[in-house]
Parts: sequence; C-alpha cells; structure tokens
Amino acid sequence: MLNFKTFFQIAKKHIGTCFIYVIIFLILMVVMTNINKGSSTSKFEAKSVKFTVIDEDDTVASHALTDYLATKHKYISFEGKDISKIQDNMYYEEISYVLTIPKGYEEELKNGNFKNLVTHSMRTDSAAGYFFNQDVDSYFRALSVYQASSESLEDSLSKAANVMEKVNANEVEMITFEKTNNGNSPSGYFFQYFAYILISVLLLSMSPILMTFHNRDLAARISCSYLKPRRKAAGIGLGAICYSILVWLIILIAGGFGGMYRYDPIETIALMTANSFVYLIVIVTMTLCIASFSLSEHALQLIANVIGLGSSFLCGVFVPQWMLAENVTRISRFFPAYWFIRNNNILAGFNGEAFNPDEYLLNLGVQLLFALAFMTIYFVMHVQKKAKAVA
Amino acid sequence: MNETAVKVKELVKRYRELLAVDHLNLEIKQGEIFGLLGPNGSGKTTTINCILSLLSYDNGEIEIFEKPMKADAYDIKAKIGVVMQNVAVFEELTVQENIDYFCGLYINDKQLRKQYVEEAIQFTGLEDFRKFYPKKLSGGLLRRLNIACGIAHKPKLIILDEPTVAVDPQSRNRILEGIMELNRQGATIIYTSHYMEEVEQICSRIAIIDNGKCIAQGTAEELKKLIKKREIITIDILSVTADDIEALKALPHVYSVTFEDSKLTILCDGGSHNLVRVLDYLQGKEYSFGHIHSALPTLNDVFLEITGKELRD
Ligand SMILES: Nc1ncnc2c1ncn2[C@@H]1O[C@H](COP(=O)(O)OP(=O)(O)O)[C@@H](O)[C@H]1O
Ligand SMILES: [Mg+2]
Repeated sequence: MLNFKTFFQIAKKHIGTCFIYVIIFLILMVVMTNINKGSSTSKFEAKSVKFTVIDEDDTVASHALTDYLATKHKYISFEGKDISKIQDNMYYEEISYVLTIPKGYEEELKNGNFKNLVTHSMRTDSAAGYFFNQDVDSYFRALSVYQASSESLEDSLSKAANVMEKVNANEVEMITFEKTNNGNSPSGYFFQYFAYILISVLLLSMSPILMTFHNRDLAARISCSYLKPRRKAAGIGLGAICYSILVWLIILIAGGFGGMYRYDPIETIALMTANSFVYLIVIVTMTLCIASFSLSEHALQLIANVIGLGSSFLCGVFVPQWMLAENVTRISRFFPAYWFIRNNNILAGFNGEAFNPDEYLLNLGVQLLFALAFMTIYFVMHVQKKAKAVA
Repeated sequence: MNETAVKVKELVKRYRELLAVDHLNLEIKQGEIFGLLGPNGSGKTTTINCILSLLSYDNGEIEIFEKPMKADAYDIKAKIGVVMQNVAVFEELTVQENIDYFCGLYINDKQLRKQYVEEAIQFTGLEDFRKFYPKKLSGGLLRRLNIACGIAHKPKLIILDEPTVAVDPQSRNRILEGIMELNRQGATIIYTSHYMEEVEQICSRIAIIDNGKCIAQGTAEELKKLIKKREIITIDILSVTADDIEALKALPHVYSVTFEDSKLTILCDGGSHNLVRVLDYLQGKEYSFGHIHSALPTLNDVFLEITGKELRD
C-alpha cells in the first residue's frame, strides 16, 4: 500500500488548498440553502388576496361564489360598486383582484356551461392574483362535477362549497406541511447541493494530488520499476476513496452544525445520507478517470467547472427537475447526478413526490453502474498506459 | 563474470520521419561500466527508454540478463535501477520519504527497506538533508537524490542517463566516485553522457553514438587507436617560415603542421620522442618559444576524426 500512503503524504502538502475549497463550498451551500428557505416562505404568504366582486347577476349562484371566495381570501365590499373608485383602490394596493360576475351567470350554470363565465382584472405586478385564479378555476371544476350528477343547482352549489372547503383545508395542510418539511428543514436542499459541491470539491482538491502521480517523468520512472500498474492504480484509488470519505464526513458534520437535519425524521436523513454516499463513490471514480488523462492543472479545473456546473443545471440542482423541459431531462439521464437528485426529490417530497423504495433502489443501482463503469475505465487506462511513449 | 547483462540487436526507433536510433547493436557484459557517449540529440535517452521498455521500437531485440525485455517483464525490472535524465521525484515528499517510496517500489519488507534507505542516504551523502523537500535542494543535491532513489534497492544493473548534467564539479566527482563504488560492489552500470572526460574516467567500455548510429565501440585505448592521430604537440612561438613547416613535416611520424595565432600545432601518428625531435629542430634554428604542450588524443579527437564535427563539452 505504498501508493496509498504516498497519496496521503502528498495530500498533507496540499491540505491548505483542499480546506479552502471545502470551506468555500460549505459557505456556498449555506447561502444556497437559505435562499430556498426564503422563497418557499413567501410563496405561502402570498395566498390571501384582497378582492372585491362586481356582481351584475345578483342571484343565489353568484352570491354562493362570492361567499366561497370570501372564505379563502379577504373580501372588501364597495357600496354602489363605483368602478372608478375600485380602480383607484387597485392603484393604491387596497385591493388586488376584481371579479366581475356578468348578468345571466346563474342561467349559464343551469345550462351546464362552466367555461369563461366570469371576468376579472388584477394587479399585474402581484403574484397573488394567480392563486386567486386557481381558486376560481377549481370551484368551477368542482361545480361541474356535481352539476353533472345532481338535478338542482342549489344542491350542487352547496356540495361544491362544502367540498371546496375540505379541499381548501387539505391544501392549507399540504402547504403548511411543505412549509415545515422544506421551508424550514433544509435537508432536502442541503443534499441537493451535494451533487454540485461534491463534484467541485473532489475534482478541484484531489486533482493536484492525482496529477502528481501522472507527472510524465514520475510515471515513466515508476513504470520501469517492479510495481505493477494495477497495484499502483489500486493504491491511488483507495487513497482517493478514503480521502473523499473524509471530505464527505466533514461536509455532513458541518451540515449537522448548520442545523440541516433538524426537521426531518431520522429515516429520511439516513436514506439521504446513503444516497449521497453512493453518489460520492460515483464522483471519486469519475475523478480518478478524468485525472488519468495526464492533463494540465488548468484543464482539470476547467473540466471540474464544466462538469460541476453543467450537470448541476441539467440534472436539477439549480433548477428543480420538474421544471426542466423533457428533452433536457432526457439528456440528463446520462449524468449520475440525475439519479442522485431523483432520489433526493422523492425523499424530500419535493413537488409532492412520494417516496417509493423500489425507485430509490433503482436510482442507487443506476449510480452504482456509473461507478462501476468509471472504475473499469480507470483500471484499463492504467494498465494500458504502461508501454506508452514517454521520452 | 562474462555473462551478458544487456544485449541490443539491430535496434531501430523512429519518431515519425526522424530516425532517432539507427540499427544499433550493443553488448554489455556483467560487471562492466559501459559508457554511451554522444552529443545531445544523438539518441542516448531514446536507446535507454527502449531498453527499459518505456518506448515501443520499430525493429530490433533487447535482452536483459539473457531474457527478452518486455513491458511486463517484472522479474527483470526488479533487478534494474534507473536514474532518469529528468529528475523524477515527488515534490511533496522529503528526501527520505522519496527514497523510501522508490525503494518501496521494489522492496516490501519494511525493516530491510529502512536499512536500504539509510544506506542510500549515506552513500549519496544526503545525511544533512533528510527532511528537505526537493525544491530546497541545489542542482547537485537534487541529482544525488535522483541517484539515491534509483539505487537504494541494490539493483544488479544500474542505468544512469546523464546523471551529472548541470552539476557543480564537487558533486560531479562525488557522483562519479559513487558509480565506481557501486560497480566495485558488483553492479553492472550503463552510463550515458555527452562529457567525454567523465566517460573516459569511469567507463571500462564505451560506445560512441551519433545520429542514432554506433560509430565506434571499445575501451578508451581501443577507440583512440582507431584514429591516425596519436600525439598533439602545441608550441607558442612568434613566427616560423614556410620552410620550417615543410622541414617539420618531414620529421618521422609527423603528418600535419599548422601555424596560426602564434601557435604551432604538430600532429603525429605514433612513434616516440616526437617532442624531443621537434624541439631539437627549433633549437637548431635558434627560435625562442614559450609554452610547450604535448597531449594524447581524447575521445573528442576520436569523435572529430570519425564524424568531422566536434563532440562539444
Ligand atoms: N518524444 C519525441 N518525439 C519526437 N522526437 C523525439 C522525441 N524524443 C526525442 N526525440 C528526438 O530524437 C533524437 C534523439 O533524442 P534523445 O534520445 O533524447 O537524444 P540524447 O539523449 O542523446 O540527447 C533527437 O533528435 C530528439 O529531438
Ligand atoms: Mg538524453
């Protein structure tokens, strides 16, 4: 285990550089995790909208709609319904949303027409209106379902209001669940950034160590010795794996101090950790492969950045996977980070995804296949290199 | 003692169009210090790298200790010590750690290795620099470290490729002494250099290489006998006449007389008392002269006469 020992002797000399990278990326991780925490909280707060209704129909049905919306949002009534006054209020941000129920609204409902019945105007600079629109749409969806199977409109109206109240409650529950699970508990985001951090830290901090072994003169000198290339490769590989596990532990422990695991059940954290360990093995073997192409240190840094940033963008580290176009995710399947993030998504329950042990294991398996492929390439390259031109 | 250590038969190595080694034949006996002498770019390093199977070659056969040498002939590699032309040590390891690493490439036993490393440190005189990193070493010390790394495991065959390039005279002498000591201890040595004095000083046999071809092979004496020139006499003198030059040329064994910049140069192709005869003649003509010098030919003269160009030093 000559090269294993030497790996760490060399690492010792590069410890300063390695630590700088680890610290930089830890800081980056904390910053990114906190940015996400912030955005999910503001999403929740935007839910209650100040609105008013211009009711030109003035029927049971139109009142029912107003009442329903008032349970979810803040209804502000305007006597006389002076439209210009309403517009002034919109301008001064007193209200954000104006719903107009046209004459004949009830008739349309009775005729089974649920599309484009109401019109609205809203402040364009406010995201709140979109939530309101969603509530209006889901009300009509529910109403259409009940109207299809019931004889009286009154009946459907009360049933729809009822069920919407429940949906309403569920939705709030789901959102508050999401809030505690993701907003305040950053473990999901913490591990998500692992995908980027690990590639960058390991590639950047290990490459000077690995490059030393691949130095032309040294490699030539070693290859005319008694040491067989396979043993050399194994020694270096083992050194790299142990080194990486150390870095991984440092990041995990730092995460603990940063309170990253506070809000999740221990099982979830354990599965996330296991997932990140498998991913770690993929990255180490990949690093070993890349460093075997006797490149310059600059070239390696460039590659580290291209792979680190590229696979992070493609595989859903910076942009969530469910927001990526389908042809992007089709490509990103060829990157190990995709499978790591898949597992993290189902564990964190991002985008309402549910955990499924089969999928979890499948994703781990795909990552291990990547590791195996990289390992094979690494060994083949080392064994074949021995008789290459060096003079 | 007369077994072959290294045999190179009809070796040809091309780098694209460039013919770096051209049908080279060498036979190195065990116990020899064999010198490969040639100017820069003559193909010495290429030859060494072919012998070590670091390079693939276009034609030829290489045997070490009477077995074919291949990239995976580890039983042979175990017996070879290599000191590369380019210093190959880890910048990140100290002198002692470096020697331990390279010794460890051959010797697994920790106890034995410790002893060997210590001996190599003593041998190269690096006792005071154990904890130094290579960057902190002078050129001469760095070369000594390079040598220590190559010989620590006590190989039977030691190949040194220009181990004294850019080394101060003191370190150089120490290195040459060391190589002779290793040879006395039983190692066969292959030594490449473009310094003819070094090669002449330590090598028992020499191959002179130019443009990848071996142009002469043998002991220093044998090589010098290959050329006509046996003695060079130079005399500082103010002036001589054309008649004098003709008269000197008529002396026995003298075959060339030139006069330039107040310096008379007389070349002889053998015989003895050449200097006495020349001085007798000049004194008879009542010339007064200054510095007189008589020299035997060097390997440089051998190289000059065979190739028509200087070996350079
Ligand atoms: N890797 C290479 N590619 C192309 N040409 C080379 C290479 N290495 C050496 N040469 C050429 O081969 C010739 C012999 O070089 P080398 O063996 O290094 O000579 P020496 O060691 O005697 O100085 C030189 O002309 C050199 O330029
Ligand atoms: Mg050379």
